[in-house]
Amino acid sequence: MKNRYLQAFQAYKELINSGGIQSSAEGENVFLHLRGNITGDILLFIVPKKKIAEDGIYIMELIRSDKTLEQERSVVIESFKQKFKGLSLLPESLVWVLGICFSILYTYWDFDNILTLFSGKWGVAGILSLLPLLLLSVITPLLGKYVGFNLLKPIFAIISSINRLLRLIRNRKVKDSQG
Amino acid sequence: MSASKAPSGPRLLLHNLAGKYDQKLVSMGDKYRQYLGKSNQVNDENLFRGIRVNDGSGYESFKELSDRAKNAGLLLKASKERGIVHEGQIDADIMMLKRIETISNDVRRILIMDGVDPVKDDPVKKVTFNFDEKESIEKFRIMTSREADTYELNLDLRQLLVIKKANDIGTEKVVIQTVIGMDGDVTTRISKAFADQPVPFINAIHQDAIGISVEFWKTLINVVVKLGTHIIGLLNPKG
Repeated sequence: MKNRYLQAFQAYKELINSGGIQSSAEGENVFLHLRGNITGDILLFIVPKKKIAEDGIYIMELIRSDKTLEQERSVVIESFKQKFKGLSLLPESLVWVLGICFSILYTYWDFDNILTLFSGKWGVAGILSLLPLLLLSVITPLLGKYVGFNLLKPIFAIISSINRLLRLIRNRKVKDSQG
Repeated sequence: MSASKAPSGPRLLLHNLAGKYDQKLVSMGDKYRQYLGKSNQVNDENLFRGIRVNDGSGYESFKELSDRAKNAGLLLKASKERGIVHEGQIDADIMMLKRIETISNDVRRILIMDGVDPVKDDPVKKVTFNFDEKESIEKFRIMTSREADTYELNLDLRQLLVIKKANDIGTEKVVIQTVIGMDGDVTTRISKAFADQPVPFINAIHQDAIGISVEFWKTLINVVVKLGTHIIGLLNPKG
């Protein structure tokens, strides 16, 4: 578990510093660069080691003739997978915290009504206390397509705030040393 | 591709992107000079990119890039029809020019939106700063974070990601691309050259990358499902 948190910390540190996570490998003829972000977008760049004219066919030949690439591929993919696993820890933790908050609030507000409802005594108060959740379950599939990406908004907001804070701290240091 | 630290804000990302498009237009112009330079219709000086009016990364700069890419594309299409250049070679470059034109137009649409550009909306800043000029970008680059924030673009997440992705891909050739939608649609695009002569290694690593991305989303969805299960569990006193 400790290792997982360390992994998550390193992945987020990289995300904040460079705006994404990256893994690279070097074959005989080409470099492999995998770049990903928190939305799950992954870009794979294959770059020739020697500066050549921009000819796609020639790069393909370089890839075909590179004997070490298969081995490098497993290394780079494994490292990248670990970084992505680290990134998923924050949303998991957020939901865990949300779950606890929700439990506390719900128990505090409506537990009596819900108990009554489940014991078979139907009452307006019990139904009303279930209504928000019922409503949520009805609209979620309808909105799912549009919500999709917004699922990640809180995570982005946190990362963006940390990034801004770090920039402020970093800039202040530069200013002090100049002054 | 060149590996470097990503620019820290939208303005600098845009400037980076404008630079990549500029360089690409220049290099493509150089590439086709031998075929098109002798034509009466074109001036072989700075072919495709033309004489630069805006060297920054504001609205007008992207308009210029978009116009130049559009004109260059038309020129290449005409050359293709006349059979001046080999078809296989020209198709990929026409696609690249189309990408430059489309993304530049997207950027322009974002920049013109109300509330996005604080310089556009402020009569004082408008006089002192013109992000269509390189000098303004250079001044902006060395500002303190606090000061730069007042000139920075106010983008929402979706707009920022459009710019980030455009900058990441830049002018690299895309040989294979898979897009998985939230509604389950999966679309894969493969370049003609790659489809004609596929490289197993690229297919394999592409599959690996898709696997990682899907796994990441699965984890995120599972997290939300867990929360839902937790809430439902609360409603069932026996559970």
